[in-house]
Amino acid sequence: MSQSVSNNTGSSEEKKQNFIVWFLLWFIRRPGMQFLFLLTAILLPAVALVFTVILPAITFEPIPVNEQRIHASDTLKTKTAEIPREQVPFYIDLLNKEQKLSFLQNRLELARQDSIYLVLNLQDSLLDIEIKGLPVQRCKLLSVDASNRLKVAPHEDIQAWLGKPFTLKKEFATIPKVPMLIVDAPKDTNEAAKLPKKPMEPEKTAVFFTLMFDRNLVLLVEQAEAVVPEEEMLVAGYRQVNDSLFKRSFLEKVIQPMPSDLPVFIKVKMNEGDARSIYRSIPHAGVAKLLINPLNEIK
Amino acid sequence: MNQYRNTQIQDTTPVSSQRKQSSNSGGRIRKARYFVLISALLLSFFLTFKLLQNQLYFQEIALTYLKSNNHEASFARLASSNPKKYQKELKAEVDNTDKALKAFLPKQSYIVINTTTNHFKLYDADSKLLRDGLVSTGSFTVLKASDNKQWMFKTPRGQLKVLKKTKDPVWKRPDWAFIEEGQKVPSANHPSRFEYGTLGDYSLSLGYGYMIHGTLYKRFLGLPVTHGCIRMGDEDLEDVFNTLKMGSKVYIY
Repeated sequence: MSQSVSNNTGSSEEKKQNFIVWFLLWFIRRPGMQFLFLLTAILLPAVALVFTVILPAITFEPIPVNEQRIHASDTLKTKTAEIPREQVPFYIDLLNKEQKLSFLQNRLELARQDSIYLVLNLQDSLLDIEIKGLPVQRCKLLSVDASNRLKVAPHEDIQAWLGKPFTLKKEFATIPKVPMLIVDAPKDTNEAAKLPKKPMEPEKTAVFFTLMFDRNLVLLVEQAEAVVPEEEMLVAGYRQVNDSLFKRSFLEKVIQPMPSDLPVFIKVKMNEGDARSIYRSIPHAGVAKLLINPLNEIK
Repeated sequence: MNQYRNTQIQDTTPVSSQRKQSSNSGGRIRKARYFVLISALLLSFFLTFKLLQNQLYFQEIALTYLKSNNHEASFARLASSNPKKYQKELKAEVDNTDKALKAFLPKQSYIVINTTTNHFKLYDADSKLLRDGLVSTGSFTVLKASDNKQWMFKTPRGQLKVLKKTKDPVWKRPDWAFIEEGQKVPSANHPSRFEYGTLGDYSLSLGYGYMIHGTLYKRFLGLPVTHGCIRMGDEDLEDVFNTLKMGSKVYIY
């Protein structure tokens, strides 16, 4: 009986194999069927690509700017007079000077305040912690992954977007902002003697944090060092929270593929020590400021 | 006839087999067509799912090809004014702002203290590094007393200044120093409040009771253990004391 069952199984597998071989030969010999297969397979993704990626990208403003600015810029465009080619370097020099002035004015404004702030220099891959105009720590960025939107946005929009310091709205991290320890005062000297005297060891937890600023800027900071196995869960938890914050449902992605408040992501990697110092030194949300150095010298 | 019969018999057998074969092959072809359609649909859904899942990535690529950072609007704006005059104004403004910004920078030697790593860096007036080393800063401990009073032992951050320099300082113990040790708080100028040698050979006052001073607990340098003051090793403290002047800037972050 068992033999007959195994025989049956063997023959059905054989039949399947035969069918697959026959099917492949049959399919290879029929170009019409291949065309139909490709058409059916590609039609839906192609429609999705056109309607949720290409068409929205054509009309999308890469950098979020206010309505007033868009209209002003349109008016200017309509007025565009042809600039002689030999005068272009002169105008570009003016734009570079404008960028520099705007950056210096913002730094000056922040230097006048007492708060600690960050200055991100994408061109030189640096993130500085500044106090009153003095960079007290210069953190080398080992990797920078900035949104392409910053590269393709019209200069006027970028200039307006970078026009004033960004204010931190929300933050979360794998490390506490303040490593606070609450101790109840001992009632007498005996109780005080029993309290542990050993200080806290220096922290070595993995440092990953997200800073969400106004004007849809999101700065993701990650340590460059590999995460030790014991902390993988912690980092996975952080990533889960991160994903859930920016996740959009498939329906949302179809109905509104590129909303105007789409975050502008900048992801940087640096040494664990630098990342920890930055997260601990910046003030809390609502107060902390970030300044971005002009992205590139205009050429 | 017999021959005819035989031929008929011989002929009918392949016809039925052919029919059977053709019905078999028709079934197979129908099956194959369904298979093609279903696999094409599955592939289609899979590709659409992947596209929507990585929509942001594809949108970024699309933007790279579809948009270009033109300066037309900027040129038009600049051309609408007097560009030559504007260039002069811009230059003057850049110079003025730069000058105003430089006014914030230290004119004499200064110290930078990192409370996260518990390190310090001492610089001269030209921002040349003179010395660096370990310090101890605030422990971030919150001490809760029974009478609803509480203290948080943290080092203040930002830009402070050296307000007073003292040799052989004497520590006047504040209330929390007694409460922390389970002792009764004495009167304001009680002799038990004054401790000699605890702060090391020098202290630099930063205001609000915060100081840079020495320590008896040198093994804790590099760790956050203090009540908010900045503790240093003897040699570092001597160098810092001799380098920093009254009014020198102390940057803590």
